[in-house]
Amino acid sequence: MSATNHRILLGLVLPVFIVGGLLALFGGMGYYERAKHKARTADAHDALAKVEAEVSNGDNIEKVRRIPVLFAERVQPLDSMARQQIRSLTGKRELYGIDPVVMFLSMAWDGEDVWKKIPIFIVSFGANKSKEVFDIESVEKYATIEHVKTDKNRQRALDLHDKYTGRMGEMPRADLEFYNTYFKAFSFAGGFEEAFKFVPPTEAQRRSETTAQNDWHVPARALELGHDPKRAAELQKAFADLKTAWKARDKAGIGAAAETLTASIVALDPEDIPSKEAIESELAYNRTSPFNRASWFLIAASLVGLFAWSFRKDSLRWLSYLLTATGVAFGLWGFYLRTTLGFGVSITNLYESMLAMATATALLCLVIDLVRKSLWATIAGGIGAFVVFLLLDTYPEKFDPKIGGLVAVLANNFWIHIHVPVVMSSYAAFFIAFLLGIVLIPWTFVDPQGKHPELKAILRTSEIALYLGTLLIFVGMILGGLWAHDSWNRFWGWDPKETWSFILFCYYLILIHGRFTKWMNAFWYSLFLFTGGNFLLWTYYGTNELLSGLHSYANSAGDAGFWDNFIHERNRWFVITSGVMALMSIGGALSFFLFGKKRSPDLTPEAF
Amino acid sequence: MTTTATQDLEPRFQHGLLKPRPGHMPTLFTLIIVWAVGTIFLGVLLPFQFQRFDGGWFAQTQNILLLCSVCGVSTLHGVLGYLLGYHRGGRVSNFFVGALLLTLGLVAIVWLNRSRPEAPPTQPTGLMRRLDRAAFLLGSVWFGLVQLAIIMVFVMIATIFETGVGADGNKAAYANFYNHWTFGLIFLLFFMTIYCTTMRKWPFRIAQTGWLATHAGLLVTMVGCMTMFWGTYEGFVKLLEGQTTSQVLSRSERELRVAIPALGFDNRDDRFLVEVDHDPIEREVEQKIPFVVAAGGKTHEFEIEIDRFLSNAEEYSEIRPARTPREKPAAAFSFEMSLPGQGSRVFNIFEDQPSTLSSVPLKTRIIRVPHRSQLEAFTYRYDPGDRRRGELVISDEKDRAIGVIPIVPGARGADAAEGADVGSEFQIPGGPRVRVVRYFSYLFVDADGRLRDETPDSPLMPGISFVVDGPQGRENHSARCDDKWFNSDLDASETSAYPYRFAYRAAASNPQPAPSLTFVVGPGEEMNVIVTSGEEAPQRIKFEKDAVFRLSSRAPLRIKALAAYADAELEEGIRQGTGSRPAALRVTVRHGKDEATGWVFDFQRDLLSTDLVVGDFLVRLGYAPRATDLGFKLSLIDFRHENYPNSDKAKRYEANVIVDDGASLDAALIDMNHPLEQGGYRFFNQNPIGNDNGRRGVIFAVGRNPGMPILLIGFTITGVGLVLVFFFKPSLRAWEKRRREAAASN
Repeated sequence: MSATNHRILLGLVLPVFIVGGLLALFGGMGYYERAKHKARTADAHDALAKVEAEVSNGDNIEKVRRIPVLFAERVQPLDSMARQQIRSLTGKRELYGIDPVVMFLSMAWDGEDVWKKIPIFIVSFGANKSKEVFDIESVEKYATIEHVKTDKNRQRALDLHDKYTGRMGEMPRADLEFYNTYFKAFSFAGGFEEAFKFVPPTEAQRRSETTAQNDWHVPARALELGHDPKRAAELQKAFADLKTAWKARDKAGIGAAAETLTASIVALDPEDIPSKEAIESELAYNRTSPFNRASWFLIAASLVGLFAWSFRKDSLRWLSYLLTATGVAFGLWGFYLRTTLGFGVSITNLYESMLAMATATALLCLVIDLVRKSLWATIAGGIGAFVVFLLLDTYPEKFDPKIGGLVAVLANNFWIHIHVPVVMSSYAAFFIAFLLGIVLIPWTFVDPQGKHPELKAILRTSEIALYLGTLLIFVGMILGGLWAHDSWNRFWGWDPKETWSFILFCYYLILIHGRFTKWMNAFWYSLFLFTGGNFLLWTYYGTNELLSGLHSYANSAGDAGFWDNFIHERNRWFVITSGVMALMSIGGALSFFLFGKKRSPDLTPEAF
Repeated sequence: MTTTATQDLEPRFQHGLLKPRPGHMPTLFTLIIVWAVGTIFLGVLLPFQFQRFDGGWFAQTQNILLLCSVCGVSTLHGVLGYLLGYHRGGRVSNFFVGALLLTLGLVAIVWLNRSRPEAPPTQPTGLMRRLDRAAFLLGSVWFGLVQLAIIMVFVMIATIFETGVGADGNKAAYANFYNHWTFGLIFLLFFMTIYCTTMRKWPFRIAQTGWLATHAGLLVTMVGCMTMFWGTYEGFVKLLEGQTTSQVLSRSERELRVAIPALGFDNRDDRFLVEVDHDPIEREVEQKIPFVVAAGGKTHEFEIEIDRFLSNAEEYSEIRPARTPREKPAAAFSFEMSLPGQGSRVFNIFEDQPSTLSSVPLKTRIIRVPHRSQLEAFTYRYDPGDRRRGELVISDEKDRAIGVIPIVPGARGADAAEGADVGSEFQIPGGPRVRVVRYFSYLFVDADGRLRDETPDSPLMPGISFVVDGPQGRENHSARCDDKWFNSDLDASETSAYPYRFAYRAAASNPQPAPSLTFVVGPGEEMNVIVTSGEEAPQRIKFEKDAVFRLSSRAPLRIKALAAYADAELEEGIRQGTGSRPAALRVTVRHGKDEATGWVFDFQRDLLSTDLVVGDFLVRLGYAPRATDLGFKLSLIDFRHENYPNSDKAKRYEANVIVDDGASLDAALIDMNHPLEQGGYRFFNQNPIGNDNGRRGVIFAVGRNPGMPILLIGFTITGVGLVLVFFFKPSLRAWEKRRREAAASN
């Protein structure tokens, strides 16, 4: 077979039959499920469309979205709070095609009149067990408030509370989902009264010595807090008017009350309210979902790259770069917005760290491919980044997208702006190397010395990713040490997270030495790259979930021991993934021992 | 009595030599190994590598032996320095100062008297060849990678071990892994490997620049690590606003403070440093501290022995089965009560101590029921509206409940006024049998002295008749609830030969009976608890370990059974607990034949918390972090602490302090990540504290880290080396090639 045919085979047959097949399969299934769900929930769609038509004339809801409110430790537009509340309840950015702001306010103020029979509480983690508890059909993904708020469930929630008080992390996932859902329904039934924190603290309270005095409150407490009675009364009236207009379906009234309410809040606290520009930026961020868009550009870049490689089309190659660059631009823009909207720190939790890793993956792929004039980093990295973005979008329970504050020692710190992005970039580089390892293993199995020019090019690309990763993790560890020295006077504390970074560094040092000294041929090198993915997974996720630690999001393990965490249902996916990867590595090694060496001398580049 | 206190009279010498203490031996050995091996490598092998082929001064056998002797003697001098610094705790710096001074002196002498080299030998021989071979093997890349893999596995296991230990995991991991001599040995070996690997590249080439920089940088980094290991100080200072201190307390070193007031002894000697508390998982320990106090012209020899250390000491009291059977057994029940979000508390209830639980309005009592039928009777359905049902509680002369007879009225005869049959009975252990005969809805005694039921259908004022039948004869009694409280206490002792009290309570005697727990020791020592909430029917629950029940289906109070014994006694003591508790030492103080043992808790401050009486002396003990003088005074003027709105998450700590170094007063602000640097120490805001009077304060973390500059140099060299290796190797090769070609053409 000629090299061109081979390339066409790899470039076309693989994507068409494997990627395309999978997309068709999952897409078809998804479409089918969605259509069925839509048919089943036609009443809900109609009811909510009616609500939206009754309350919204477009302009008035735009005014409502801009009302500043305190949520998740910061003042933000009501639009952001509504989206997070909806996402928390439904697990989706939008459900039934209704504006999240309309949906949230309708839940709060129309209450059970509208929502009693509308399925909104997502039941996914516990699968059939939770569905049985809520008494919903196994094909359904959402429970209604009627399903959730029963005496039986109340007792069950209370029992779970008793059993797991102080050790919620040990609660089985299905029970946790039930428990969270029950209490969400509880907030729902209370009309989200506590959510409307529109009243800022007074100037005197903010300057008070007691830490709790900078809290924001609901309008009902505006007068007792000591604000100017006239302004406080105005705020209370505006809030009451908004509620009344909503219930009366007075579209113009809603807009007018929202404007008055915004003005009243600003009048009470002109300092801490975000500027108009900041509000508009946040709305743009919410509307655009830059990371979601980035993910689609990156998968497109990956597929275009595969075609470009198959047909050796330079124009397609540049298109692939352009798509990657656009994806990166969206990612960076998203980070810029999150950083400026939050507290000036771009990476504060697991969600943001994974966003950073995916964005850095795309960026490094672009840089490596531009320097090398190659495509494989983009092809492999694009798919990898897409999968990470997809995971983040799919599991809001695990990856909380809120923009929150950091504990004092982490906030206002010079090093956090450098250390974390550098470490995430090193993970990204190792991730690319791992993905290229997957690409390389089948090739190097038949050409263990890596003689084929195409293979050589991919090997070189993977080496660059490997070098970048090693250099970055080294620099990241030092920066972390400098940070710790500045903040705790402890350059190195053998905290599990930093210890595992050191392990990761050592692992790749062994790999680099093996490659430099030539005692690793291309196959073993590829296999080690693949196995490195497992080390990366352990360093990134395993230390957070299985080991105790001091890092900001590394405290999930709590006081439970390693083995308790290891066998916990919550970490089953991780243990299975890691185990399968380890078995694949061992299987690959054994296969090569048994079959690889015999065949390798006979193969030449021409054999392709 | 006039007492002259001499604090430091103990002879430190044994057989004419200083007595080393057990805890210092590993430190000393490590120092010897590090110094000896380090100097031999740097002072002998390194120059030898440079000169071995051109036969320089360092390549001659007699000179190498001379240099080795210098290394050996300087090591011994280091040991001497360490031992001379013994009274100060055997500081590491004493060793280095001693060793370095002698080394420099000897090297200077050797260098000044060096002779010109003879004709250079072409190849190393004998010892030289062996050394060369050893260095070659040590520097092989395979050996280095195997060591790297061993280090990886070692620290991997350490992280798992750390998680398994729990709260003090990091400390335990340091004691058992990172600070363990095996890790030190691996580290040292790795250092030597990198060194030998580097030397194998001699003579160096331009293309190797990156490689050399990386490995040389790693060597410098490792030296920095060692400096950091030996020289880092971590301590803390607790200050409330308005307070001043001139001392810092150590995080790693703790000492026993001993005071014997009668002898005027109050010592803070280094000998009282506690050496057993570095590993929180180590339980059985041994440290002996002998000391002599001279007072009033006499010397008193004391010895303190520490034999147990608990990192999380918890005082406990729990029930256990009585070790020997007792004539009058006392049952006990242990259970845990918890309210959501308010934590839990353990209660131990004893049969001879009926009580209302403190802090919980819940009555408890323990009764014994010898017959199964009576036990089963507790399962009757309680109807709060049905006053016909109830119970007869039997108590002894000390008012301790010894039995309960449930009353469930049965059928009435033809004459309803004669009351309803009951028939429940109870055998008082070692006493008479009590049988409830009849139940009356409205008990009254007619003119003939007969008991009659006035309103059989309406239990307005219920009563019962019962019989007490025992060795002292058969007695008939009756009891009636009054119309207000619906209960009746009948002191049978007034009319009876038996010394018991009988209390009849109608089931609905109180519309809202007080919540109670009645623990029942049944036949065959079957343990039950009758839970009465006042809202719902009482429940009979088997009291088995870890059984969980509530007072009622709606009550949030949760009760968990822990233990129950028919004959129990209380055990109290101190054990390793969970959560965050103070550490504690078990200490025995001996003086002659007298000795006393007690626990000393670490309250993180200078406090003599434990008093022991040893013979004629009161010995006061405290266990606290070791204090070091700062050399200046630090005062906290103001501390501010701000949280994020509607959150417990701290957003900002700020402390205004004044530093008084004797010459001037300086004001400073310690912000998060902006520490105060003063006198070689760095002060960080760590945790806010406060006292009951609303006074605020802060714990400052205090540190000193002399290894940082060396580390930074090492990292920089390594980083540059990595960049050159990874990305500029072809350029360097090309450069070298160009130079070689240019040289060849010339």
